Amino acid sequence: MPAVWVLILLSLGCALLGALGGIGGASLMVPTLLILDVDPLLAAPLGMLLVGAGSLAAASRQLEEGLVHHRLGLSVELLATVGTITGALLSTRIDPVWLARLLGLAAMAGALAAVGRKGIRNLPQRIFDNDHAGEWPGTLAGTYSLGGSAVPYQAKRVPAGLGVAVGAGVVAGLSGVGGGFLKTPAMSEVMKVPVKVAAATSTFASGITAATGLLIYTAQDRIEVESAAVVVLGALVGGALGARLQTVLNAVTVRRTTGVLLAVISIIVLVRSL
Amino acid sequence: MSSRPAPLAMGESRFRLIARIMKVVLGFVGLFALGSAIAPEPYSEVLGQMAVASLIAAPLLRVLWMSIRWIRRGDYKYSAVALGVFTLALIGFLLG
Repeated sequence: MPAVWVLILLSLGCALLGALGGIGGASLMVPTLLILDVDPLLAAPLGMLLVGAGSLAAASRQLEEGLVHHRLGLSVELLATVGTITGALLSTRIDPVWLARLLGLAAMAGALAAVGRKGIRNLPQRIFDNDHAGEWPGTLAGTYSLGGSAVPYQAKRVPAGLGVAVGAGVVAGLSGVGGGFLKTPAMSEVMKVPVKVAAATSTFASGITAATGLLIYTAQDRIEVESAAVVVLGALVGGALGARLQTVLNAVTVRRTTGVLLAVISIIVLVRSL
Repeated sequence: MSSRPAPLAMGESRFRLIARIMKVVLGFVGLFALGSAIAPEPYSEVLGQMAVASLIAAPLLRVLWMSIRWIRRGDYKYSAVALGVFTLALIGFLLG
C-alpha cells in the first residue's frame, strides 16, 4: 500500500477531478492504485470508499435542489445491486491480471463517457412553472428547475436502461469503481432523462452501490482501516473543493481533460496487464 | 398532463430533514476520518471503523427512510423496490 500522504493526495486529487469532471473519482483512482502496484483486491474497496464519500457529500445539496429521482434511482439500483453482489463475490475468484484488464477497460469506458457526454435535451415549459422541482409519486416522471423554469421529463425505454444497470453493477462489484459512468448514460441516453437529473440520481444510486460493495468487502476482510480513513478524508476535502471550483472553471473543458487523463491511465493499466 | 399526480415538494420540511441528517452524517464521517488519521492506536482504528460504518449506513438508512415514506403515501410499488434494494444489500453482506 502506498504511503499515507500519497493516498491522501491521490484521493483528494481524484475526488476533485471527479467532482469537476462529473466522471466519478474512483474510475480515476483505482487504475492509478494499480499503477502504484496495489493489489486489485485492496484497490477496489478504496475506490468504493471514494464513491461513497462523494455520494454522501453531494446528498444534501442534491436533495434541496430536487434533482434526485429516488424512484428511478432505486429501480436502477435494484438490478445494479444484484450485479454488484455478483461482481464483488466473483472478484476474489478472478485472476488479478484479468481484473486489472477489466479495470483498464472500465477506465477507458469512463474516459469515452466523459469526452462524449451531451448537454441539455429537455427544454423548460411555462405550463409547469408553478410546480416544485421533484419526482411525481408512483411514476418515473418529474420536473426539475432550469433557469427559473420547470422542465418536465419521463423515463423511457426502462427495461433497456435497467439492463445497462446490471452491467454497471457487475463492473462496480468487480473493480471498485462506482459505475456512475455507465449509469448516467443509461439514464440520460437510453431512458432520455435530463443529464442533470441523471447525474444526481446516479450519484445517489452509486452511494448505495458503494454501501453494498463495502458491506461485502467488510465480510471478506478486504478493508484496511488506516488507508480507508485517509481515502475518505481526501475524498471529502477533494469533493468539497471540486464543488467550489465548479463555479469558476469551465466544466466541459475539465471533463474532457479528465477524460484524456483517464484514457492515458487506462492504456497504462492495459499495457501493464499484457 | 393535467391529471398527473402532484410532484413531491423537495424543498419542504420532510426533505429538508433528510438533507440535514445527511449533512450531520457527513460531518461525523469527516470527523471520524480526521480523528483516525491523527489519533494514536487503538483510537485511530476505532475511529476509522466508525467512518467506514457511517459511510455504509447513510445511504442504506436513506433507502429505508424512502421506503417508509412511500408506504405512508400509499406508493407500495416503489416502497417494495426500496425494501428490495435494502434487503439485497444485507444479503450481499451475508453472502460475502
